[in-house]
Amino acid sequence: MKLKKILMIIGLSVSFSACTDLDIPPVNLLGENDIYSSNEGVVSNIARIYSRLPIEDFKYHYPSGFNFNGTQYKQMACLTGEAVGRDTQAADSEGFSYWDEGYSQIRDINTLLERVPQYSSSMSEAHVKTYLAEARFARAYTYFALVKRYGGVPLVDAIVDYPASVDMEGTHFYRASEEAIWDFIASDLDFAIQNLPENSPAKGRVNKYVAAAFKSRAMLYAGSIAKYNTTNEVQEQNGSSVRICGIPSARANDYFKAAYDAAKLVVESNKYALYKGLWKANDPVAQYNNFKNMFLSETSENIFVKYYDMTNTTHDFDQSVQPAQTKSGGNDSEVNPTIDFIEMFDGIAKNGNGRFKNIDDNGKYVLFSSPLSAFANAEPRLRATVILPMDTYRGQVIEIRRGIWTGDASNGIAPLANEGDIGNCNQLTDPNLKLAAGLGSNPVIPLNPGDPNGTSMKAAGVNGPVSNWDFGNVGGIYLRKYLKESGTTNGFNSTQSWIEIRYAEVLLNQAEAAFELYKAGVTSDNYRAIAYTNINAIRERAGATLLSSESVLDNINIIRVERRKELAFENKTYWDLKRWRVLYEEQNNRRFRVLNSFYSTDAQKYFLSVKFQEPRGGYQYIFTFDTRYYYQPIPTSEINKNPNCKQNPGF
Amino acid sequence: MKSIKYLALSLFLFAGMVSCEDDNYDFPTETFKGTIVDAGTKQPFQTAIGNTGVRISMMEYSWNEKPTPYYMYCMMDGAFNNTKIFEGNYGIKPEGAFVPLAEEIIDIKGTVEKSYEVEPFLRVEWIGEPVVNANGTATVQVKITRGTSNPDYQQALAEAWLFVSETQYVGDFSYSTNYSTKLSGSTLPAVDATVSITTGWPGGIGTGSQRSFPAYSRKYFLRVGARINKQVNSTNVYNYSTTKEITTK
Repeated sequence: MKLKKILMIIGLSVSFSACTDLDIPPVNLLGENDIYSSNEGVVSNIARIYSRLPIEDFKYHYPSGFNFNGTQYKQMACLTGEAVGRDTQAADSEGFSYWDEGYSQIRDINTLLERVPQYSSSMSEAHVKTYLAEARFARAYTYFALVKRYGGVPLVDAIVDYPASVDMEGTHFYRASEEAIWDFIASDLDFAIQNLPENSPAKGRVNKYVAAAFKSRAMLYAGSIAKYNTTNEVQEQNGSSVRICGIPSARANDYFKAAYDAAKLVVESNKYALYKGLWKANDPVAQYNNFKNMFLSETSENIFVKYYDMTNTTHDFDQSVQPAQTKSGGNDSEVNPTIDFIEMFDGIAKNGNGRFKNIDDNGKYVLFSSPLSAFANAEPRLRATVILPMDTYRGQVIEIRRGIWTGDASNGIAPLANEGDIGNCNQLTDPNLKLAAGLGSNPVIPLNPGDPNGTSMKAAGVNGPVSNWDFGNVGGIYLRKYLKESGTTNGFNSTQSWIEIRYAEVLLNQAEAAFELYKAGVTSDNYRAIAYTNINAIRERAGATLLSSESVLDNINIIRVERRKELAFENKTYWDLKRWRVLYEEQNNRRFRVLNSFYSTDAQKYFLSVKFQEPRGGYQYIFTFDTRYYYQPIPTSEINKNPNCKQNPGF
Repeated sequence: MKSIKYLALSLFLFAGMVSCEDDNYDFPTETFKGTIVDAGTKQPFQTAIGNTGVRISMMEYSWNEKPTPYYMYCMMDGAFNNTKIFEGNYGIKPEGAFVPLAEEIIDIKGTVEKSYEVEPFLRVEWIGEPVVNANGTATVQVKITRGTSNPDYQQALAEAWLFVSETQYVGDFSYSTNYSTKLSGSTLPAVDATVSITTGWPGGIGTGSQRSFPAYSRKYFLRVGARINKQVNSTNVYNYSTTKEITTK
């Protein structure tokens, strides 16, 4: 018995002696000290900030958000009239709210901005300076994504330390004025421009000129809002009136000037240039190859790039937009450029209304040995941007055809009953018109003896368009820009890098800002001359018709059209149409026009019919932009939890 | 084993049950109804249904100085009637295609009836009856006039429509994209003049080809809407004529 008691006491005392003070930081978690006290720690933190930048790249999906990992049925290019797609059925707005994600990013950045100086003794001064400037760039980038969507938003420039130093009320921020947000973006970018190095510290990271290039974009946006926006939403905030949507128009020139100066800094640095590696004067093929390859290579044009590779991250751009003909699986044909878009390009025959001339002066279709010959004289940039019917891609002739017409063509071919009109071609009663209902029910039509195209032809070629709901083309043309030229494309196996800012945009930003200043009568620089020089530089590289003299540049639309052609399908046009406040004018009960190629077996030639996008699967494809969405709704969850946050008008 | 399973299950169920409690708050029973009337003509104010029509903003100040607004929308003839309003103190403000009214604070208890007289931006009146043409279209005559002399609302005409619909609910919120006619830019009608508009130009006159009604006879509802270059809550809002019915041949 006694022994038992002794043993128990010994046992207890042994177990007590193992007790020690457990108040140590958990060893399986990284602490603030680990993250902010070394270059490795800070760089890994900055890498995360970069990866969360709201870049509208291949993985931006307007119904879902950034870095989307599903199939992109709906496409932003189909919201601008650049293209039509079977799955983009109306003038949608973003289906998600970039808000919580944005403020979480801003908090990370603010944390870094406060902590890095506290640990600065363990890193070199130059490093610290770069980190802080990169963070300021990222913060400006994030606020730009917020302000272009919502107008004025809460301005958070420091850590909100809830609940330690503020209570719940203290987190109920009012929205700052839209003007204040734009000025805040400008000041963050000015800091970045002053403190970033001349050259990026590593591939993909920013330098002084990236910040300047981005500033030209942001300030041009602000100037456009000041000039063209008409919404004036004011909130009373503790006795003062704050304009949460809209900027006083008197500020327009300040912002245009800031955009102009920032672009000038990039241009005068001579660190970037329009890519002309394969370019040759008077050689359309070389100019075509040059423009096409620019999107698939690392060039002098690239200012800020989001890189993709097989080991880290891939995207599925190719499977979304690839022709049905070359697909190795997955989806296809979500982006089909419209004839409305094609008509912007130089070198296309036009009728008296400025439309593509597919019907001759006798009221008969113009006949072409190949649809491609209708665009033989178009500027090379067009062929590099889109795949016209019967053009080549991956070494194959891309056969896009709506149908075959077997009637008598000896007196020319009169327009189809629905030429230029609404409706699906399968409603036509012409017995000579042979169409395919689907890609799987694509009739083989015998050709006349001696036809240069062989003995028979499938009505809808390999890609369609077909009459019913199916895969394949729906607008008569395919997209070429950014499409890779080899390799499998059945899912997330694309690694093209996304060129977020390229030099051509900077030239266009400068030209637009310059022209706005010229129009406003500002004379501190020879603004129109600069705009003229920049536009002609872009046009020369594109192989387009040059402006003959400075005085020809008398309309902002010359610059806008140039921008829409040059930056097409780069997810910029949608925001351009918004900031110019022309989206409603362009999309008000609007149907976009498509190019239907038909082959005449009698003439042994093609004719090209232009009509409105054909209804399929019950969809009419009518676009009407709701003007409320010039300022998008702030998420209801935010309105509900923050009584000081006023909703945008109309929601 | 089995009994342990049942025991665990019943414990979970029990845990779930205890959080249930009757919501004994009375459901709303007060009524707020009334009309929006054109101050000039004393006729019902013609409007759209939904967010492009008349929205009555109701701010319930009973509990909170900054309530989340509750929006109530009017019918096509400017009437409104909601029988499920909570009793309380409200700031009421109708918003639509008329000169803005000031917010009015009222208590809602029992049945509250209100009539708001408004100055519309524009008035759209029929001149004569619609004519059904032999070619499968219909032509109407209307006169668009200013409804207010307030200098802040004299912007130019921005857009006009002859809305055609298969149902009596016709306006920018519901119209046939085949038979309606859009007037904008150079085809805009003049203010104060009698203008005639023919159906069948949904993309604007001269865009595509004119659409005609189907060969069989049926009813259509016509209404003309027009708006000035002034938005209300960032929304394009139209002033409307009354609705007319036609039967095609």
